[in-house]
Amino acid sequence: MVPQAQINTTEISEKARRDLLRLLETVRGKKNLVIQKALAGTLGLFVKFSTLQEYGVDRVFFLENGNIDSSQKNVVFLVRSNKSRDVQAVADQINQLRQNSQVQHEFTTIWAPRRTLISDQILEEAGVLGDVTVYEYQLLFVPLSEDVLSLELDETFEDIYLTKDPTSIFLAAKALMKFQQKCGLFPRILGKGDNAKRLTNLLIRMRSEITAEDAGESSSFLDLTPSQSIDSLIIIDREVDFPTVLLQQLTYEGLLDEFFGISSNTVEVDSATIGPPTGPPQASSSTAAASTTRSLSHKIALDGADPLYSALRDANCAVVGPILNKVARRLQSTYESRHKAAQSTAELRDFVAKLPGYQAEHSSLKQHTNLAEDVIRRTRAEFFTRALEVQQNIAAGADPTSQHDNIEELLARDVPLELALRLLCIYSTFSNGLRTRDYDNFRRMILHTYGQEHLLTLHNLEKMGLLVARTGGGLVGAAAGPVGSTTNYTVVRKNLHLIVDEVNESEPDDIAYVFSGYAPLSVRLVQCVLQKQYLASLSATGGAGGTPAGAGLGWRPFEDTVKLVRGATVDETQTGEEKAVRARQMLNGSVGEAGKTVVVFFLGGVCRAELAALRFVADKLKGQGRGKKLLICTTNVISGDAVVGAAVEHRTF
Amino acid sequence: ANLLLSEALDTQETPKRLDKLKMASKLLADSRENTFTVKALDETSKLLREQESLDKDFGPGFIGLSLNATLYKLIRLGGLKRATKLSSSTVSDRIFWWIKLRALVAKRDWTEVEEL
Repeated sequence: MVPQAQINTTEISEKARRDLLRLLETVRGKKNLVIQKALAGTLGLFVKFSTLQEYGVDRVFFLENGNIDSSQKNVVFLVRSNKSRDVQAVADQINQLRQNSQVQHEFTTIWAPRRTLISDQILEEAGVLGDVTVYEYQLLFVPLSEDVLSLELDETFEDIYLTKDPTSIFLAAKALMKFQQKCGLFPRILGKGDNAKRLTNLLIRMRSEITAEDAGESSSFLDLTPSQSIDSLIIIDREVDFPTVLLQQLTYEGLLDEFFGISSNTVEVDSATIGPPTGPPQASSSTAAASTTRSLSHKIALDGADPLYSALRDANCAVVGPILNKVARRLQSTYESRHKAAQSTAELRDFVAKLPGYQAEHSSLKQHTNLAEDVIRRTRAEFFTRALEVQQNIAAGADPTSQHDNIEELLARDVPLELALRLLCIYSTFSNGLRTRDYDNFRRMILHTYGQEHLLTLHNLEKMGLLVARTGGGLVGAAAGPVGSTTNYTVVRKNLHLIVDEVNESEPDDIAYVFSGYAPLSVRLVQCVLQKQYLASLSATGGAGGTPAGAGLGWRPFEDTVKLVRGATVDETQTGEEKAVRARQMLNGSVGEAGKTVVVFFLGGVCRAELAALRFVADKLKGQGRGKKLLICTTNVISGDAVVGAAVEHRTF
Repeated sequence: ANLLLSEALDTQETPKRLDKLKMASKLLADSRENTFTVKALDETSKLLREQESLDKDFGPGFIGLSLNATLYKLIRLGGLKRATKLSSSTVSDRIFWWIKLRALVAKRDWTEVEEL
């Protein structure tokens, strides 16, 4: 028996790469590759274009552009199969290509992550199924950094909450199942939210399916024993905690995402903000002006391996400046030390050897200084501060009616639609809906300011439960609605200490630093499981303090609070066959708590500030010396604009 | 009704759109829960009709704008009176004040700004 593997992120990307290349190899000769734009960035995370070329890819086209030419005999499509519109696009292009060129093409489509009945059917209707070789490419988790895995399904949020399409849940279950097959069962599954419940049920079902399949053959119950290396799985449904994503993120990475949009670890910025890539800083003012006219967009890779960036990304924006300053000072002093210290040739050689490292650091420093300057300039803008003020007041539980004037004025001054909707949604989610009169007022204002077509937008938001009228007509903050369908923020805020008044932004001592005072509910829930003592110490009254922490306890002693949060609560223990368990124990000996991994899965997306907060929690756990590791998995990384953007109607009258 | 509304968005000609909107509004008028939507739909068709006539008087480009944007454009083009009339029933004073301010500043009509 092989020892159960640890979860290793590089291994996962390695496997994804191998699978892709093997599929490409099956098509003989040179070929043109057509990929979806959304998929291209994802692939870029683990495979280089030059590698693709080695495997016979001649040119790469984007599916959206529809500009494939007939230069090669083989055409390979690599497309996600869960949207029928994409599949249709593939079919159309195949037909078009067949009509326009004389060459007899050979088509191959690779569906990621799986071939579906519907995709087959669409191809059949288009009359091309017979001419196409179809493969499956199981692209599930993609590592974004060493502790973050993502399914990179961009539209999950819309799928799950607006169109109620369970595909992403199914894919998530698949991906987690693969995990289990490799590392053993999650000994315990904890979850919060209705969709989390659905996911858990799927996982259990898939497990029994595998057991049933294996029963006939030689029993390989090996896969079905509880894992030694994984402590537990915590599933958080996005639905449980909408407001956190909607709030303005205040970490460096979060702000970059809000302003420029990060996709697949690269951020696209106007080159004017970055300044000229080379050249002395004195000339930058003139050249920068020149580059504004060209207004090229510039892609910057945000690499977690870059020590500077990894220090910056989770920092609150208030401390980004000082950090950059410190690094700049250090670099300068190393440069200067060359003149003083480097006398002997040996020392000089030593210095020169390190020089590339310094240069890399220098250029990354320059990039981030420019980025940070731009970010800070934007955060000083009036709209930003006004909106932030409104958000923080509402989050802190101040009487939201006092914010009406602020919101109204922002609307009258034509702030971007997304910002306005976010404010209203935060308002609504925190106070369990708006009073009917206010609701109608704000709705009318939105329609007047942004156009009548947003009647559909508002309807979508209502369907997602983001912007609703309060039912029952309770007082502000009073517990309205049945337990379990809504979150009672007034109580939860107190019991879980969502608001921390004194935050130390430069040396954070609580996760609340990521929002400058508001601790994301989702991460607090994770803490409920992992850091019981810490939370208990925060609340003098709540919780039986002093219970030894450990996932063995599940939600205890916080069940009462957790119950007040929207959605179903999940707590499942998975055990394997007794014989197998015992056999494994004999082989491995007893492994202590140390080195176990806790997998946290965010269904429906996670925002960068939450990632920062979770990393903070992970560091704390490490500091306590129990050596638990945290692995964050998600369907995709989202921001507030993306959340409301899912609802926005784009056509106009 | 949402279907009809999105159909109305898809069609290009104004009269057809008006028809669709009317159908949608009629569909909802029976039930009491949808009063807001019905009102919004009626406002939409009113706005569209208004925009059509504005297009004739002030030149093209009004159709498709939101109410506030219509007012803004109208004031910029010098139709302050007409804008006041159009806004009187629906837009709150504070919002209208902001629109006026922004539009007049954009027009560089400082005498009017002083009058505010």
